[in-house]
Amino acid sequence: MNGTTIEKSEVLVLFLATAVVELVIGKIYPAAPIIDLSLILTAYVGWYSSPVKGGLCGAAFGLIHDGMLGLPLGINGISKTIVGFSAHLLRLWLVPEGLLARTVLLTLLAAVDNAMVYGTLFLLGRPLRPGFGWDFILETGITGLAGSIIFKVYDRVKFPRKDFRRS
Amino acid sequence: MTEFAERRPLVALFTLLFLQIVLLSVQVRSDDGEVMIRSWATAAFAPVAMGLEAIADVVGGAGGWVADVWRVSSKNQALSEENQRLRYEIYRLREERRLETRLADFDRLSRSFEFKPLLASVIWNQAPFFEHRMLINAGVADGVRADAAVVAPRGIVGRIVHSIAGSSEVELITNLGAAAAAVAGPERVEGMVQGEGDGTLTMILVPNSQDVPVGAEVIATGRDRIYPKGFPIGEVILSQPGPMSQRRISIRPFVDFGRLEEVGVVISAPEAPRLD
Repeated sequence: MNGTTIEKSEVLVLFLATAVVELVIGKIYPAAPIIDLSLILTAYVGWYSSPVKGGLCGAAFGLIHDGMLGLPLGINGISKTIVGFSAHLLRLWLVPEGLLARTVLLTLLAAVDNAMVYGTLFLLGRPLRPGFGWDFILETGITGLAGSIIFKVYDRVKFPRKDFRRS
Repeated sequence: MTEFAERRPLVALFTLLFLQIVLLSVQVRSDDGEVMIRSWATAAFAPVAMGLEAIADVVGGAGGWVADVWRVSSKNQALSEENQRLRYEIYRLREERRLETRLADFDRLSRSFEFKPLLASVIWNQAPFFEHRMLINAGVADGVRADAAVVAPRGIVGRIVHSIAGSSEVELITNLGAAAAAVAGPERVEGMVQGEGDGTLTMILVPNSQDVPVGAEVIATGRDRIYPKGFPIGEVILSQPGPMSQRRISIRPFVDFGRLEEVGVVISAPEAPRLD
């Protein structure tokens, strides 16, 4: 995966897919927002491209996520901008291979993202729903697990196995 | 632009964050419906505004203090001038009251005698170690003539020796050589009062046989056709037998010549006093 980049067209496709999934499916299934698809794809783009691209994607995906949740635009945008920016820097220090490592990494990123979101809501004087702590833990864990699965699936789609068998 | 952003990732990051913060701030409203960015802007600017206000207050206060000091100083000066003017006014009014009192004496004088003295102010009083003279502000234009008697409410002052249009020179009775016909005491001993040049008077032509007691009043007889008859001159302070059968009589004049301010000039011929 080192050295792999993401094309602009790919980012656009991911952006549209995120918009459709979060805005449409989020209306149908109220529990859908528990998986932070925006965070997962932001981390993916940031991981495989550059800090700036990761930040830009994070801003865009975060705004979509705000729209889905009905929050003021910018709350998730700010946090995911930082996550997308930081994802590429983490790649310079860490090379997580395997499902568990990626799960832990994505869980940490989700925790940072949720902490920033709840912190911003608190600073703005928005009331936090009772039991948000459990929500925090649940969202963080499920996002981390789902993210590692999505990472693996997308990698398999993007980089199909080469058959080195002699025909 | 992308290359610029790629070369400066932190600049791009902070730009993205700033834009989203602005986006957030224009949406979020406070409990009273105020847009948060306005509240944040107000909160951020409030200390600056308070600081500027404090500075303006200090500067304005200092300027106001200077203006107040200048205003108070001007007012103080005006009040000082007013105070001085009022003080002079008080002096003038006091002097007028004293003049009224003195003029009342002349009024009583004119009621006692059948002449009305022309009132004149003393404009110059010569030192009494040369010639006993004074100047008054009445002259020929006022009807003053030479040898007219000059009197004060307390007694004889002297006579006009020289007169011009608006002023006259008066020889005091105490001048050496000045004289007036007089009588002394209850016995009305006749004699001649003359000045000694030292502020005192002497009575001559009184024989030793005539007794004139000390403290006796000396008055004019009018025989010199100058001074009004019965007008006081002074009191006897010394009376003793003298040489050549003539009594030595010293008289202290009633009038304090050094403090005279107004005198009366007898324009018409003096008459005898009425008997009341």
